[in-house]
Amino acid sequence: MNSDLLKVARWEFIQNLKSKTFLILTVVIPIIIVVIGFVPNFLAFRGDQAPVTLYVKDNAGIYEELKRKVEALDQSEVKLKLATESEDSLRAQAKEKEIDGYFLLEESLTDYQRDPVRLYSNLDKKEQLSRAGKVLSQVLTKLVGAKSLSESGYDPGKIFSLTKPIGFTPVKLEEESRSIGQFILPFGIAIMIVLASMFQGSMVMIGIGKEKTNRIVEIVLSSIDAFDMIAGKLLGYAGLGLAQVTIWGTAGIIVLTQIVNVPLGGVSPFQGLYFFCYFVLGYLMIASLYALLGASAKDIQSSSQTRGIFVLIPLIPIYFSAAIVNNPDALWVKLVSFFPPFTPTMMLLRSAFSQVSPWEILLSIFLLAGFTYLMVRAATKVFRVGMLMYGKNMSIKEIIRWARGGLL
Amino acid sequence: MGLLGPNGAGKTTTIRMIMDIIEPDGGSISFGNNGLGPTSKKKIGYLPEERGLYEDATAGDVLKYLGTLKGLGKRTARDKAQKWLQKMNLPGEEETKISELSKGMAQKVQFIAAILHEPELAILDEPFAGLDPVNQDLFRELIRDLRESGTTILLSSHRMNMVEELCERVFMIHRGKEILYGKLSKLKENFGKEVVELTYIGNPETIPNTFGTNITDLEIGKGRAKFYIEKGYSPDRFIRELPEEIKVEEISVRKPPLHDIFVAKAQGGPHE
Repeated sequence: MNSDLLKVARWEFIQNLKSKTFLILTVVIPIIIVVIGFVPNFLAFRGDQAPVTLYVKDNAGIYEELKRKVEALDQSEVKLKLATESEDSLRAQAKEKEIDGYFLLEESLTDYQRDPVRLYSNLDKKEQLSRAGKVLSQVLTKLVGAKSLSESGYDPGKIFSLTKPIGFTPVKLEEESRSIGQFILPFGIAIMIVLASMFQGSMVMIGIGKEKTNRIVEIVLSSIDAFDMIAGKLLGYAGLGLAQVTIWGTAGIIVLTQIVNVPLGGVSPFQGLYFFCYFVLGYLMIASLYALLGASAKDIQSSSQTRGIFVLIPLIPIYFSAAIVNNPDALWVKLVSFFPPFTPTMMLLRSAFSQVSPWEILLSIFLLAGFTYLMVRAATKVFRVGMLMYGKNMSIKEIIRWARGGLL
Repeated sequence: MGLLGPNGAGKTTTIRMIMDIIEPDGGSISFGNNGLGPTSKKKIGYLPEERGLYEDATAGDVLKYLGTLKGLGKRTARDKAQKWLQKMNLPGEEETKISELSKGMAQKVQFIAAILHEPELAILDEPFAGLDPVNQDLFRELIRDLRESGTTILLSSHRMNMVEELCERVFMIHRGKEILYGKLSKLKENFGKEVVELTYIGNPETIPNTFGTNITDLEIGKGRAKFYIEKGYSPDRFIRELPEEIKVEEISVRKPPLHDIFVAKAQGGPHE
């Protein structure tokens, strides 16, 4: 690769790596996003985790046995306490939410095989009460069943071991060999392309706009080729994007494997390579679009106003992710994933939820690389023309005219 | 060589075309025996009229980076930068951010960036703009040193005295077209007129306004007078025709200053 291009890339990478903006975008903003996005859910989740304490008005004389069996289970849904007060008093306390709830066990337990035990509570935790009910139902069924079997002269232990339930677990053949990592990684990279190109893309735009206004560009262009300057800049920012994604990715993997305990599994070298290609090329493509925008605007403010349209490009496949997830092999999904602006996100989403054949991956990477190269060429031309236009924004028509000129 | 022309004549545009910053609509530019290209760019140094450097970077980093873009090795660029900062009275400023330097200091850094790689050709667009007299003198001496060391210098400036002091040749354009080119001494020679300045004692109102066709642009002030005479003519006629009460104290005849040639050519004035 051209050494001038690499010199520019290195300069942009190091200078921006040292800047406060990079630190804020890389560390602070994701922390804020995580805090805003996950903490309320986490707290709500944690709130539900405390077991409900239910009082038992026991007329059947099985409280102690019931309690022991409930405690012996590995569950955190329910705790039991023996009620000594009257039913009216329990009802009043439950109504006022002084206690979580209560239930009555009458002497004839077998009646409950026809008519369920009523669990009285005024709590809003319907889900948790239902889970608590299931735990109690499981224990009580076994208890009553064992009692009835004994009374009828059978050995409950033997009967239970002979009538163990048989379960069914659905296993999708295609996914047998797919680890969670092979799902999370492409999906995560797709999201990171969007985030990184949004953050760094605007930095590219601001960087180019700034050079245009403070005229450093004249010194740089008097030393090297315009293409090397723009491409070097984009490559430098792609390096920053990679650094950013490495930081985010490492943090993500640590959270998933160490805190949430999700086994990620391995990723093959081919998968690793194409994830990397999609990220770098996708990032460069979006950044080149931003560069084109920065080069055509008279100043940073006016380029920022129109950047909303460009932000949308990598986001579009994310909007359709539900449709892609449901049918990753649909013809329209396949066709659209070869359209270069959508390729990185679409292909990564597809490979997260389906098997994508290697020829599709290679062809899409080839098309994406070609498109990205042309975009950089177009941005270079627009930049060179834009340099002459002091204090004037280029119209869309002009941008297209000059960009086309750069491609011919 | 001085590149001259009135505002809007196309000096900066010409320079930008030479530096391959903008493309010419027609014609060609060559450097030595070759066309302009990546190799020739490395042999040229450029100080643009509109100054600007990376504000958040340190002076040392900026010089090292711009030096490497011109083909210097990292270490060489750093060593040369240090040497030049010393020479420019900026020792120990390598680690200072450009944004923390004064305007004059930043201008010095930009000057160093233009010549750090010892170019064969240095293009300096208004190098004295915004400098105090002390730094103007410093820059003038540096440019002179560069010239002595064999660097060709293309100097675009409106400070005619500096151009006159530093340039052997002058190229003047107006509305994008060449209107004057040649050795400065030759141009002065060919200007066809000489400047006469004299000091006198007496009432200026007694001096007549015209003295025949060979004497033009007469300016009479209190105790001083200035006019142009056709080359080869003597100012004697003027002195003879002065009233008796006017006593001439001192008289000088010299070649016209570049300023006058510039004004005459730019305005299409009386001396064309």
